[in-house]
Amino acid sequence: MTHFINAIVGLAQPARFLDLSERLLPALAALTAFCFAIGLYLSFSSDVDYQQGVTVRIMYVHVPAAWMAMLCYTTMTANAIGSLVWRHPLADVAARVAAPLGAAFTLVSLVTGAIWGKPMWGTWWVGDARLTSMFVLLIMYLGILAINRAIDEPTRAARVTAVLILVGFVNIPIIKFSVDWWNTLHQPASVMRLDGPALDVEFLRPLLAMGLAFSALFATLYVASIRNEIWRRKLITHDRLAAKAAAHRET
Amino acid sequence: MTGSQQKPLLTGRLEMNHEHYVLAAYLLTFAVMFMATLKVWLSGRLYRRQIEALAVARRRQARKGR
Repeated sequence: MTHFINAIVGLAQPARFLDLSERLLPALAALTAFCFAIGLYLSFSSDVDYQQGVTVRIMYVHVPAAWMAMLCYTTMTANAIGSLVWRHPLADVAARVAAPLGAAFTLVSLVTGAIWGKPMWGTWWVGDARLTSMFVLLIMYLGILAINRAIDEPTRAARVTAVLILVGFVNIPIIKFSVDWWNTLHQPASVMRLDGPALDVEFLRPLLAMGLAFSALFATLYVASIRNEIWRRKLITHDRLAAKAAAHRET
Repeated sequence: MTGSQQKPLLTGRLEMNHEHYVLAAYLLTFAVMFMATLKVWLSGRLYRRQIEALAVARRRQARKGR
């Protein structure tokens, strides 16, 4: 057990993470491409719905994007706790880089939902609890990005961002249960239900394949973004030290 | 055809069928995902080059110091 904990803690060291990500990234990228190939094949070879027709295929990108948008925020929250409680620098890095990815997934989820809504509901947008809470999630992501960039001092930026992320986490259960708590136009959960998925296996298969592809894409981009952020911080530290040394030489 | 009967060129509504909506959703999804991947990849390449240049400069400085 101690060996396992030491191994996990060891991974959280930036140098060790860089070394591991170097080997992990090609495998993750290959897995993403493979999963997307399978997912797209299943999406376009599966039967169409008797009521929705081919429009059901929008679900295979809309639903996984929404799952990733929520998973991304949950990952950010776990890292924000790590940053606030243990002040771990890698936790702060991991929390910070997830925001643009989460914003991209949320945007895809909102827009593909609107594209599905036009032919099915007859409108692009309704002030529905699920749609509105997803829009609030997008605003949260953009707010976190803006706050992080607005504060120059890294320690203060990390703390403020972590607190904002924790406060915003209240929106995640609201998104998930909004279709149960309020009378919404958006349909209730049909995959992640206590009594099993309500979808026919014909639709469930491509949906899960695309879910796996989106998860692999998220993992790839997340690991690569953490690595980029570690390098960026190394360069900033080097620039600051060089400027300090230059100032010292002048005096 | 008289002037009043002519169909105006720019006022016709764009008729989209269900296939068009599906195509639009997939194109948008893959465009956003591609842009995100490209951004991460390009910034990674830039930082890696800077870090490598820095390492080379440090090695040169260490050699000079000896």
